[in-house]
Amino acid sequence: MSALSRQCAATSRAGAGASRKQLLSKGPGACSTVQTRSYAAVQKKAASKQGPNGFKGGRNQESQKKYKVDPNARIMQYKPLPAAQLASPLFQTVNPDPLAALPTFRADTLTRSQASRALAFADAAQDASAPFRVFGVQRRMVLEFRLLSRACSVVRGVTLDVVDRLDKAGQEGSKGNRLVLTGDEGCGKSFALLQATQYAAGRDWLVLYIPRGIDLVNSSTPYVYDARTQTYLQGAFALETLKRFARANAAKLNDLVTSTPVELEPRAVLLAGLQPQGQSTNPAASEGTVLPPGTPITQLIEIGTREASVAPAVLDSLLEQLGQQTKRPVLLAVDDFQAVYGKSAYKDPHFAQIRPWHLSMPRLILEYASGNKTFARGAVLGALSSSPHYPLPLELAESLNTPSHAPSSGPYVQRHATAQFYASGLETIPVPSKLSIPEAAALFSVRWKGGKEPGDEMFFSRYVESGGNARSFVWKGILGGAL
Amino acid sequence: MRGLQLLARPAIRGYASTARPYVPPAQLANVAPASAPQKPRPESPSFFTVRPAYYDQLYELNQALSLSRRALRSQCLLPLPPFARDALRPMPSMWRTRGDLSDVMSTPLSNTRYKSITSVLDQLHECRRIAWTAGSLELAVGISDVLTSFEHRNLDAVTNRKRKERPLDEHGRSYTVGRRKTSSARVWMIPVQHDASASTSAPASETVAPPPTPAQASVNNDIDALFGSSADRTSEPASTALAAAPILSSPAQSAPPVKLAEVLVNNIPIHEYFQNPTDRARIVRPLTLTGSLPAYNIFAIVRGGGLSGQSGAIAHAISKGIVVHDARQEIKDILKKAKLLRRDPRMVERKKTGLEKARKRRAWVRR
Repeated sequence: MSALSRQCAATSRAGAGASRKQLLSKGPGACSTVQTRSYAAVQKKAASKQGPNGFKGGRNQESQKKYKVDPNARIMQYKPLPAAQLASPLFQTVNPDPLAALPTFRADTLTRSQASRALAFADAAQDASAPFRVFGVQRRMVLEFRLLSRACSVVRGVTLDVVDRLDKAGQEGSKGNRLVLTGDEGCGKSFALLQATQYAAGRDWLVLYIPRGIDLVNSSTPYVYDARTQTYLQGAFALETLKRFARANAAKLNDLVTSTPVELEPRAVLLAGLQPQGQSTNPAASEGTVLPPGTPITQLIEIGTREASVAPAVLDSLLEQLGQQTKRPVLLAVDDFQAVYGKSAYKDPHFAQIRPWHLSMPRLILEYASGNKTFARGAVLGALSSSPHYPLPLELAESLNTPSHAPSSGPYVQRHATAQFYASGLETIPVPSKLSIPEAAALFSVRWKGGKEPGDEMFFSRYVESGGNARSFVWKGILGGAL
Repeated sequence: MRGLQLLARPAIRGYASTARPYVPPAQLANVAPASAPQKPRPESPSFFTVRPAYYDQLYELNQALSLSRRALRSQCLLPLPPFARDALRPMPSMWRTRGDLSDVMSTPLSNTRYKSITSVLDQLHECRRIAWTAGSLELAVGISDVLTSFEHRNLDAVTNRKRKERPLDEHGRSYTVGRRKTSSARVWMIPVQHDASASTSAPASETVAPPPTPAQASVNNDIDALFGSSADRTSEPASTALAAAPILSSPAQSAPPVKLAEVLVNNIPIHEYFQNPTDRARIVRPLTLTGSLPAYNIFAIVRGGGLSGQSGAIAHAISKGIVVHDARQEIKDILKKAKLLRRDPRMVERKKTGLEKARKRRAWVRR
């Protein structure tokens, strides 16, 4: 009662305009305090005045700015309706879907005769563990696959070259098969990488595909410093990678076992509920346990997927074990390859930039890309991308003999020794900057969504306008630049 | 009575006398004149204008024109029906240049004044033409006498000259210039060398077409129909070679590697220089309309203006280049109809005083 009266007294002091008796009669919930401290007062927004031409949409620039859409975000706004919702007769077409008759991309039938042909990837129902379905793809490809009724691509000469190289690498180790797809912006490097992963998956390889290398270094996932490895662990990323790797290669991992003892951290032991079985090889190490050789690989992965804190170490061990086995080749495919060689967006406690080789995931990739760690059978395949925020670093450009457009290049710029070490020994597979006419024709026939049948003139003029560049041809030429 | 008598008497008051008073001659010896000496009257009323010679000349020419017209009208030769006007004997004429005429008239002539003189001269020439064709030679000769002093010194050479030929250089390239707004483009066009021997190309090459699918067979058919397998085409225009290619060819024949035009702008590929599809389409349009997409490789150096102005300038230059390589009338007609051969005269209109911009007026206020 006294609190209530105090409240209502404050109200009446502030001059709420209601008499004390009235407030008291209304009940306990009726009173409300009016904030008198100016710094804590409710901030009233200044009423936005309508300009003289406001309703015509002329002068009110602020509202115009508010609705400006980021072009990258605009790409993702397109979401087609699922086919099940299109039951109305209005949506039934007389013309059959041309993509329904496309042959499927199969690793065993991919030969030189398939050059310049459009092939569709198997549907989700038939091939749910395809690398691109499990790991994802680049942003632009997501929209392209949404626009088409089936995910498909054109087999180019460079595809067949990469595939031939993978066949060779399947017999050899990854030491001499560290390949990077290079070429102009929009020439089709990411698509070639995607086709390579699909081929490898079809050939019973174990595929670890990282479609957006920029996500490794753009500070979008948590990171924690680990004193043991003296690197920053990216637990969440490693956890997701393990899960997806298990899903993408489920059938192939069942018969694989560890060949050497795998040391586990104490936390991993706790999560796995394991009894300490062996002794650690390093007597100075803290209590841990060692998984004996012959443990199924799936068990190792399952331990790593329990918690994000243990995932990075388990991923390291997993790749080490897979690198030792010779039953199945391993493909480590990374898009935005240049991102792991440059600078990351992560900051250390002194707000200094962290270099990618001090982060667990990029470090893993760099170790295999430099040949420091190898797969007994398999390859490392990367694809460069032209990103304004993560450009091609000078050391990588020099190692690949590609021209660097970085503003600071030349004899007076210091090269980072670590980056040079990690970039040494990489082999380039140049992707041609222009589509050949048959390839462009296949691409055109698949992606043309216009009403009437396009003529040669349309095709040739779009080809010349795009200069043969694949991205320009598809996005500006065929899809009209609307997106 | 007395008043009338008074009026009849002559006025003898000295101040009101009309007769001149006697003045001894010595008094008139050193006397200044009462009024300033009268200035000589100018010969023509245009004396007080800025350019009297010009106005005099214009007046005289207009006089001559009205006389000629009157004479023709009296002979029922004016106004002339259209069929008669078409049947007039062609008489090309060329007037002196502005500088020349300025020297002749010994007065500087501005462009506007020169144009006003030449317009009257053109009309007089038209009257002369009518008179000459109708046979009234006296009138024709009279008009000719007026016009002789205005005619170009080398009339024959000037009227018989042909349009300047722009040949191809030693590499078979054409060099043309195009303009739009404030952009200007210099364009070199060289015919694409299509490979004649498809069979000698390496089988592992990615440009060799595989055994085609039905969809591709139609593409291949079209490609063969368009490009065939004829020999080197540098000497003749590419489009004549296209016309001579076989229409139908067997689908089993492996198509030669097809090459289309490559366009470089300031040494940068077109798709990198022009991001906007509209600009790119504008540049490629003359090639599309004339079917010369596989015919020429284009190198352009463009300066000034913005991107769309530059693309318009390049398109203009490409159209002129196509005409240089292929002088057929149908090609010219196609490009003329599409208004690609004409330099677009539209330029940015100047701002005027009292207005916000070229046309935008200030807000109207009642008071």
